[in-house]
Amino acid sequence: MGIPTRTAALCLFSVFHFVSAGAAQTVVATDETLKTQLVELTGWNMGNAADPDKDLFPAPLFACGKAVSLSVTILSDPTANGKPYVDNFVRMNRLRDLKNERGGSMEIQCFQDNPSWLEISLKQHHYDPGQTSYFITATLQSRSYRFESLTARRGWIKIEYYP
Amino acid sequence: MNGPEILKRASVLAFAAACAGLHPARGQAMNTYWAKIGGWDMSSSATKTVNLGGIEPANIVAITVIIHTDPVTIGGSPRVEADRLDRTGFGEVGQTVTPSNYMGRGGSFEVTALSSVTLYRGSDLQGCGASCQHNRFLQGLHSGSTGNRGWVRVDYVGTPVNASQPYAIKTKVLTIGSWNVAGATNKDVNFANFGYPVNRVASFQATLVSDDQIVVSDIIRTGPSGSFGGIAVLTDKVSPPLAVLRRGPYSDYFNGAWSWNFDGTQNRGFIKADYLAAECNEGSGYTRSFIGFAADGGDCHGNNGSGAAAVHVIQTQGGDIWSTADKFAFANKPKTGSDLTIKARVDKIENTNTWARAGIMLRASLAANSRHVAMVVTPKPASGSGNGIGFTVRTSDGGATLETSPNTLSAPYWVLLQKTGSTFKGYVSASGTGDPVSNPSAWTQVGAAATVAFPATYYAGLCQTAGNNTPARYNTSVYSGLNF
Repeated sequence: MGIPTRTAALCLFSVFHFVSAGAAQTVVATDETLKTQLVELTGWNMGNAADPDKDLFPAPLFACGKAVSLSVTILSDPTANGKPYVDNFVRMNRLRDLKNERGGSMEIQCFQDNPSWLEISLKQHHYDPGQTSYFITATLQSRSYRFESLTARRGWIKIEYYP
Repeated sequence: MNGPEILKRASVLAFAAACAGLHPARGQAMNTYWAKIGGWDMSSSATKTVNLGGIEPANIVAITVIIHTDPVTIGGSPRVEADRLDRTGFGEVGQTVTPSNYMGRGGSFEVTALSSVTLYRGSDLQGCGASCQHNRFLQGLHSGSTGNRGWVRVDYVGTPVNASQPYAIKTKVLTIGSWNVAGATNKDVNFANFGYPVNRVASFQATLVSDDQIVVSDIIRTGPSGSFGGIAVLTDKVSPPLAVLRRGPYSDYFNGAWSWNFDGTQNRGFIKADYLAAECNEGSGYTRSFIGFAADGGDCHGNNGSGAAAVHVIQTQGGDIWSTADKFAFANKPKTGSDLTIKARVDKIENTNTWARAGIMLRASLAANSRHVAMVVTPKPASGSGNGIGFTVRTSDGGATLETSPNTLSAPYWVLLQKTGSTFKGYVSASGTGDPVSNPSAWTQVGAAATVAFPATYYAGLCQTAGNNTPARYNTSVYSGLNF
């Protein structure tokens, strides 16, 4: 995961708008003004334990301080019925056994000195170092889902923002 | 940033874009499908299956599940809460989970079969039962099985599913305001600023923005080196109701140990909430009329509020408002008098056909071939300009229909009809302010005035047609500001 430098953060060439400070909350967007950037995710062999992260670099359509929601959806390779298994990347497990943890995370980083650059960082997570992520070891979990294809659509990233 | 650093990043970006299979997916048309969860006794049923109306799983971009609690009394205060089903978390890696740090009441969901999603309630990891406030979702306090438990929002690409959504869902984004996350684990946001009650929330997300606005993160995220997920829950337990935000227990992200700070005083991020503005229930004061075709079962006229503040939702089939006879749904009231001005805002029109229509009408009778005048909005297609907003007139019963549509406008837009004796004029407006008499600069006339002889009692209201009925398909459109 790339970590932007403080130098970049403090660059004087910022073009970002700043929402006013203070305790009062204000409505800044509605369904009629909110916009969406979609990024299709492919080329991630999640079954490769050496590649638990994925960084993407789309051209942003928004100013970073105006991104209001982030979503990542992960699709498995097609299953026996030809359909993928669909999961939310930030989900937590539904079982008591923490070893079944399969959460992931996402964040976006902007480069204020170059608004045309955006980094989206995805990372798999597991909570027991001795247990590989559910995403990676799907076949070991008595489930038939695989995440190994480098060419299949692996999912989508949705970023909502206001102009 | 120096020159070599810029070149280094440019190289990284170029390499990543070339090798990572990146598809920005610009221009992808995204649709949203809303499904009510319906009754779910979470105290006895661990799962709930919700139909997704035929959406292809590979086309699903995002799913958000919101759970509404039953009314509960905690600490002597009755409350209803809205929470995300997939919220985190269980604490840090290796952390001993106790009732005080246990923030997990998350459930999950998955799409494993064509066009349905299975929801799973969370688990009582700690086993502390109802004494753990954070376990409320899991401990049988949500035993009501008949009311609606919440909503599933599905964003998807590809062909729209053939299932209309009889709901008017609107969105507001609220700033969180200042929050020194490094110093305060909690933040309460006055949810009353949204202007609608918690029990109408259909989806929400909370996002954190760093001081220098270079990092944006979902507040319920898990972390790069363990769980430091936060929580966001909406509650009406106090007056005003609150959006309660809490950061996760892992502090490095928030205390400046990383390159990003969250200790400033500027706006810390956003809460985006979708809410049910109106549901497709029978409205009051309007008569459902199916002009030229039999009642189609899917038709419903709903409103929320009263007078000009009401939001109306109509779901119907219907062929067209055209030629010598019509097939459409008409939410109407009888009117008398020589003069009348009627206006409404068509908030949304579903694109069931390029000639689907949603608008306002004055009609001499409820016969299919009746004289009428109307201002009708047609959809804006994904490509092309569409058929605009037209002034439609049939001057005699059984006569031909004439339409003037010199624009490419579509929803959201205001339409207005002005009746002065037998003279009718149609107008459009982006703002809807006043009327053509009191605020002429805000309104633009469409076509020329028409002369139609109306009886003493006639009908006024909202008209809508799907634009085709072979195969039959429901059209759902949304209106507000109806006033006459």
